[in-house]
Amino acid sequence: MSKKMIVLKSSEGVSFVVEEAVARQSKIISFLVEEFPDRELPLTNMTSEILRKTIEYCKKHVVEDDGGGDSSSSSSGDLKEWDVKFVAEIDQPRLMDLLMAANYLDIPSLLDVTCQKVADTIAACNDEKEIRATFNIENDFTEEEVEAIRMENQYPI
Amino acid sequence: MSKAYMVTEGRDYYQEMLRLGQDHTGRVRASSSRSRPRKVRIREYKIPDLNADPCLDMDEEETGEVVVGFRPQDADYSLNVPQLPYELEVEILARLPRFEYWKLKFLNKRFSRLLKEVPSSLETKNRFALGRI
Repeated sequence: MSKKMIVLKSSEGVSFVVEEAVARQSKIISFLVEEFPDRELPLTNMTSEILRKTIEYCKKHVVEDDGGGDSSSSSSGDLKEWDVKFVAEIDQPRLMDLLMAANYLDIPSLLDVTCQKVADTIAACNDEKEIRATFNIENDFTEEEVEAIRMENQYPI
Repeated sequence: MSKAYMVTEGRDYYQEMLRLGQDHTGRVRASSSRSRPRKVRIREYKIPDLNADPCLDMDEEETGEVVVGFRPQDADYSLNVPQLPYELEVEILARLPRFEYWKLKFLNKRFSRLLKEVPSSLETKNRFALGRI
């Protein structure tokens, strides 16, 4: 039996034809597919690159989900390993885009893994300067304000 | 037709999307005091506009800061990290050990303020997880 395919269109107008089961990893797309069957779904706030990565993630997860059976526990472990590798290969700005895409498309597992990666990156930074450099965050504190925060957070001796 | 799903502005649509996320998954994305539910005017039955700019300007109302929504990145990736919506920042902080919070206190004003607000948000998340809400 042939599988039903869904067409997702990126901001550049590139169409991605994906299996319905893959696309349904996104709760939003799942909802839209039910409400508007046989329609191309334009996702013009997602670049082709981010959409491709999102689909790659969904494909992997739908395959593992279908695998099931006796090897489910080991495959779940493999999947976690794959997730870690998947986000590790993505650079910081794209990771943020992927995180927002996961949120936008409502893919909880992808949101979880991307948020965890960002949290781990913050934890790996030695201080606020390194975090600023990593995430390109501007320091908008004045010296007086920094001093005030220091005073606020001083431990009583 | 059982459901109508139409909004007039990108912002309303995005907020509706966020609420949809909560409804469908049962997850609490964030307990943001800023994410006030809004009424959605239903006019006609048509495919939701996924092109709509999901710009979250929730912060603009109360703090004067403009939160940039999810926009595609252009050529210079390295200089253009998107600012995350409040809900996602809470999600990240929820996964960060408490003893790492000090690093964020001096990061910038936004994060400093966020750290003051976030404990109550996390508490709500935890209560939800424990089934007390």
